[in-house]
Amino acid sequence: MNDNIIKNENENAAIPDAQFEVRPVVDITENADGVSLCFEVPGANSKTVDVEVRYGVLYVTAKSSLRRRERPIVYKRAFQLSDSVDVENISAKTEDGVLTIEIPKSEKAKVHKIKVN
Amino acid sequence: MRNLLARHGNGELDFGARDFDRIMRRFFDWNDDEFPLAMGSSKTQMKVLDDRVEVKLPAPGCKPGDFDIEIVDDLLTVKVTHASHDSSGDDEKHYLVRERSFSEYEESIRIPVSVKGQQADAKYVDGVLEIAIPREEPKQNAGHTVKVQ
Repeated sequence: MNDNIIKNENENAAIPDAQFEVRPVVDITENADGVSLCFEVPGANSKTVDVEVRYGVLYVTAKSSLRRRERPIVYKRAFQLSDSVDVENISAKTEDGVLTIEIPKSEKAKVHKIKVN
Repeated sequence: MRNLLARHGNGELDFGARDFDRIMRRFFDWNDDEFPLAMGSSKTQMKVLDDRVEVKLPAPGCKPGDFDIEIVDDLLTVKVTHASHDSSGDDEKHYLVRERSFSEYEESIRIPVSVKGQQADAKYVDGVLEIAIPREEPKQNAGHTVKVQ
């Protein structure tokens, strides 16, 4: 059952002639507290990465120092988020060409054990 | 259980093509939007400048100790081992999407000009291995005129 459909902005957005757009690979893992996304964006760092959430969609854009076909590479990918995430506390960091985004679950999405008396 | 993220794949568009796309990416270790022109296409980029040859290899998530670089005459060989990657906890992780690869990678490239391999310098910046190899100075009086009798 698909609750939501991932929208990849790459497929529909117009690609500027001056850039070479690449869809970065990602590992997404889930634990009790939230979801972790690790994108491979070689050549990009915290100064060239942009992460934002608009209307429930997470957009990732990362400009790389690498070039392909004489054009600078730009990594782009987008994911639809459910309303079970705590958007206000999303965090991101880059290290060695890997962008890691931590998306915490909202309180209502976490498992709450009820003690039975 | 409701997923926090949508499942990978688009039910409205050609789902078969997206699955095939995912398999091809893993097999060819390719993360481009375009279909590869040839199997095992090279990741390495080379630029020949006046005084040096610059080689760049994208290798995100590595450490400097993960690389073995060898230059023999005009042949450059780079091996990426991912030795620093800790995969011990991977089986316990709950993956929703798994596209990254940590397999060993090796590539040999022929350098088109004469270089001083012993003076090569390498650094790892923002997930990219950058190698700079000075070029040999052009030999003086390298030309020789042959007279026809």
